Amino acid sequence: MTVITHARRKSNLSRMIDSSGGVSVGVALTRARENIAALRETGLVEIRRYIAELSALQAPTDDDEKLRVLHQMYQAATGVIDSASPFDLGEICDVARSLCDVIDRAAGETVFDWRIMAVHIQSLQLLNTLPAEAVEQRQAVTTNLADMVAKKFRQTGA
Amino acid sequence: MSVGESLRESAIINLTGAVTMLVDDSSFAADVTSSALLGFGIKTKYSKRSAAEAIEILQETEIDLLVVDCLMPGMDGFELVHWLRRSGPPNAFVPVIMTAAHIRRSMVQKGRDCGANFIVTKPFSASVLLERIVWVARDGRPFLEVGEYFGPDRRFRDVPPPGEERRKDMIRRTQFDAEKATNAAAAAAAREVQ
Repeated sequence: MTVITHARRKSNLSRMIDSSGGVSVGVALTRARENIAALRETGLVEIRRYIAELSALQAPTDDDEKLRVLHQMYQAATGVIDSASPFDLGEICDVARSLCDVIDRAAGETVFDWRIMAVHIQSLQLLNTLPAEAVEQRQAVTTNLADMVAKKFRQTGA
Repeated sequence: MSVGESLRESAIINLTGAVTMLVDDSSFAADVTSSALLGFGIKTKYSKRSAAEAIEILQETEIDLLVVDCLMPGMDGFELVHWLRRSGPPNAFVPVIMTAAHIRRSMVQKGRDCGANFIVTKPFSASVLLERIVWVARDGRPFLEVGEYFGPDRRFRDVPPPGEERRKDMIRRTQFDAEKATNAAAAAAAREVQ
């Protein structure tokens, strides 16, 4: 196979990063984190909106509907990750990511088990209502869910 | 927080003039990314909600950095970057960082082959984003055209250049490592004396 190599030209970004002026990395990161923290309330509203969208989805009855529902569910689950991940809401992100994985696998499955999706959605609802201090309960939600997913995929061999 | 040498807290970076485009269908995710970029001194010049809107600008206007979400309705981020690399001047070689909340198994190959410099998977973190921006700014890999692929050489080599080291970042890294080792040795010696 023919390989054409283009010698790397220096990008504008490369030229400017070491030019005079600018800020220290420490200051840049502090400012960035402050800017992101200011969006926290909006982020929480977004998380609630996406979880509500997930909760409103009904189990599909045929293959066409299955594809549509899975697509909507995947969009909402990635929306949860987008909204929760900047604010250290790791458990919510983990459950949403697990839901994305399950949807990804379900798309290729002939037998479709809605229950596993429903448990993910319930877990998200629960995590979103439990206070941050309820560490043990929050952990129990994610651990039980992870066990259930592992068991499910061991059974199906996926 | 302690960060790697490339993100040593006292290191000075100047990204103020970077003409940056952000493409993300989620306005909230775009706000989070542009807020982080603003903290780094980068004012997002173009914030677009779709690949089609981005292409209109990219065809005509040179940018310095593209941050693009992988998952978008219609033309997704991978397809946008694939198009960009084949688009010729002014932006075919522009540094590209992709962000992803989740990557489907079926998309892994697409991600590998689209020609992006880096894909950052969430959780979103300001330090990871900055680290990747610094990394792509200093990315010295040549671009390759191999079959359908057009993008940075995906083979990462760690071979020292022939002759004396002249790369500024490598000299800085060597000095930093040496300084760190000296300080650690001095601290250990001081502890022994006590």
